[in-house]
Amino acid sequence: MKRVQAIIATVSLALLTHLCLAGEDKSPPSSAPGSGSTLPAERLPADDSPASPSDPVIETPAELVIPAGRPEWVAAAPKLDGDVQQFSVSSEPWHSKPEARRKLDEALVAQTSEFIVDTLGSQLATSFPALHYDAKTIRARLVTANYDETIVSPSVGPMHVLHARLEFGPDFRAEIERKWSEIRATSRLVQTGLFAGAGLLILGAVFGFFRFDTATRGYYTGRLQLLTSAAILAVMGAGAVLARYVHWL
Amino acid sequence: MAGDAASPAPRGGIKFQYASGSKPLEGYTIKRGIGRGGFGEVYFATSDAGKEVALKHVERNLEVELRGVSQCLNLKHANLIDLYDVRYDEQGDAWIVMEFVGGPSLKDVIDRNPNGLPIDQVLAWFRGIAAGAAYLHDHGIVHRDLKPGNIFDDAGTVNIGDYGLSKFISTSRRSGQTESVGTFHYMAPEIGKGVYGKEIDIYALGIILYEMLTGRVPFEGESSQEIMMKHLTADPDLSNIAQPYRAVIQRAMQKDPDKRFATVGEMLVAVEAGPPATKPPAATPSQPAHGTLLPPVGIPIAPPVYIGVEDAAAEGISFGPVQQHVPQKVPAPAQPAPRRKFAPPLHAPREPIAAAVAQGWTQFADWWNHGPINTPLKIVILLSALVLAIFYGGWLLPAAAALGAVYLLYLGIRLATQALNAPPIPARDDPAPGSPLPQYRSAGWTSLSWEQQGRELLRMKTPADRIGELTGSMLGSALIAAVLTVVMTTLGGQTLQSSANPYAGPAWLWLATTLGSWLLLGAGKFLETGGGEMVRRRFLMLVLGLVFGAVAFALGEFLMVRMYDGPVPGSSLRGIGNSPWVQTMFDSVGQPKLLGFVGYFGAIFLTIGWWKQTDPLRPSRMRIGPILLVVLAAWVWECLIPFPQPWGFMTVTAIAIATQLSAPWLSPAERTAAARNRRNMV
Repeated sequence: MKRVQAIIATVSLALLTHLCLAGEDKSPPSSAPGSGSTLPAERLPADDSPASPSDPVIETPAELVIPAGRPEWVAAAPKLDGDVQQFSVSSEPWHSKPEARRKLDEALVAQTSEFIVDTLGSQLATSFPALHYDAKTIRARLVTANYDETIVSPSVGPMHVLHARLEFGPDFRAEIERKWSEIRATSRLVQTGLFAGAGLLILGAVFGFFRFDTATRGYYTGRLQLLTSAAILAVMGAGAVLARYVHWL
Repeated sequence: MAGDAASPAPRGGIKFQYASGSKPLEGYTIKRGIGRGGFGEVYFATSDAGKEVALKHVERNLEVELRGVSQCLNLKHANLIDLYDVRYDEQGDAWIVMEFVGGPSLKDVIDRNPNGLPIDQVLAWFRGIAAGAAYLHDHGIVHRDLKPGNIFDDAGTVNIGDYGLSKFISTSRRSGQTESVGTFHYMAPEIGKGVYGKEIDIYALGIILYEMLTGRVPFEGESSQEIMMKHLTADPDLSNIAQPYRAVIQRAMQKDPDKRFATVGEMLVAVEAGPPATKPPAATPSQPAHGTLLPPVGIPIAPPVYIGVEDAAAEGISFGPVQQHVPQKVPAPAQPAPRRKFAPPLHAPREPIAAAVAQGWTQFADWWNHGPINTPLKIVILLSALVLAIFYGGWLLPAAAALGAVYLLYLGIRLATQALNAPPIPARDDPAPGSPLPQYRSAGWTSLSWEQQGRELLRMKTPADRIGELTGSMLGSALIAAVLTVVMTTLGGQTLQSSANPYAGPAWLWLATTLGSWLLLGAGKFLETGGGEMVRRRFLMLVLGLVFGAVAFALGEFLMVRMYDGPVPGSSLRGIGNSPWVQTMFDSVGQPKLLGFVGYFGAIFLTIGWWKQTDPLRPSRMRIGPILLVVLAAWVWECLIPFPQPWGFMTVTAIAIATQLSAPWLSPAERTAAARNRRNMV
């Protein structure tokens, strides 16, 4: 009897939870917040998919309503204006403005990283803190225009969409190239240090062998050779392990 | 104890036949082996009563030699090592029991003073040697093997040893060339004819006097034959010896025995006629109290006893027919030998400025190499000079060049004036047909006496020794290069840290210095034995320079070192450094390309005799002269190939310093020990 009561309670709780969540989630299911995506048109046809019996009933227009006054750059494709590369970045429609802002920030960071990777030609470039720009920095230095709008979705209703225009000028390009040079130089310095250190240690092992062999008058040559070989192998092994932590740029 | 046996046991030890505590000879207990010569082993031993003696085990029981020793047993002089007895063990082997002397030999003293002994010490030694030799001559004995290795300082008293055994030691082929070379340096020319008068001792005294004054023997050579040939034909270079010693040595070393001093006493009188300041006797070693320098009046002088002359041929002496030398009865030659005409000086009197500069440089080099300053202080001084050169090189070098030009102009005028004012040079007489060709004075050998022995020692090294030394030097140079890099980075400041990573420049400097010194150390290791012609050495240096330049360029590219950022750097000599072919060595921003690197460093490596800086027998571990030469070469080549500075200067200077400091070097004490070790091993 108790088992039947527990099953009924669990099913009831699941149904209640599903209903609550269906009422909150109004994000577009098809497009993830990506960089460079733009809204296609002033008005879009409404979603024809049949409503679930569990969806709440909301008054919506028949097609997507985009308010007038949207700047041209919002829907423009990426373009190169002289030395300046321009990108338009959007947050996609979101029910609340903070959510839209967060998504726009993510899109800005993603677009900037993509530009850096393309410019420097290395997928590893943005993995270095020096070449990772956060949203705040990007807004302050690279975003040259913003546009916020509220569109009305036929299925969801009013939604917030934020737009930003990114401009990568020659100064920024020089900056990331300079930083990339520093990173590569540091990486190569570490590589050189690794090889030099290993070389000196191996040389020290060889020197030690001859010194000890002379000091012991050749009585322990075999053992010393074994020890020296082991030491050289250990140095090489340690070098191989350390090499895994080095960026080979 | 006498002869080389006076030397302490070499480091590392040699195996002696008898162990400590053994009693091969009744009444004496062996304490330790102290040396080995051509005749056998020498031991320090004590008698049953506790007296310290030296025991010579004569492994070759030659009657002649032992008879010679027997004739000396009753000699007694303060400047002679006492021979106590000749005993035989149960196997019939002969043992010579003699006085034990613990002090250093004259050879050790000379080795410690490679530029010669102070004059008071020279006189003190010579008085003792002369007294002992005169005593031997007075008793009809010719030593025949007088040499610094047979003369000892026993608590302030000069002692001559190995008399009586001289014949055996000097000429036995058993001892081989290595033993003979040391003896041939003191061998009078007439010995080749089998003439063994006391004049050969006087000849040897002249050479010993020369060696004490200069630190080297007058005649050296690659082989005993070459040395003997010089004794027969060449004149010693006495230009660096002051009067009256020059005249004394000149007379003592006359080829004709009759033209030498008649007695050792006469020679000593001539030596004592030196400058008044040198007259006072020295305290160390003390003046022998029992020197008998003049023949005793009224006592008939016995004819000299020539020990073992009759066995010369049997001993394998191949100098020539044995002749009995009778000094008093030699008939005058029918045709007197033409007296040698001393040619006028080959060069005009030295120009005073050059002489002053040379003298100053010599004094400075002597102070630098033998003065009280230690190596760290030398490095500080060098670095300070380098800093001054870097900061003030812009006007110092041109000023030096201008001074040099002015001096050359002055020299040219001086020479022209001298030529105009000089008396006419008489035409040289053509030699009459059949007459001997005019003889010219030989310059003589000026290399240090220990150098040949040092080369022999270096040749004796095994490959393992060489590799061990080389790896040690390589490690040392890497450490020294690191220290120098820190110093240079501090001095160079922003110039060396303008690359993408501020540590890339110093890292390149360290790696380049280390690599350069490694290349030179490796090459020096193969050249240290003295092999290889000069042209081949230069070619090797050129190849090393090209390799170094290429690797340094690759390292710079890899580490992204920015040496220069601007237009192609200008040269100190405008017009040359900016020629089109120089432009091809640099990229658009003035960074040297591969051609610039290999051209600049190849030229510097070719110019400098780097092997001298890795030579273990160099006068001191670090010499300032070669380093200054490197800086000068770097500057001269920078005029033609405007390599970015101070990178070029710093790199080659650091290479020179690191190479010198890390390359093996035999100190005077080590040379003495090594030479003694080798001598005993023979």
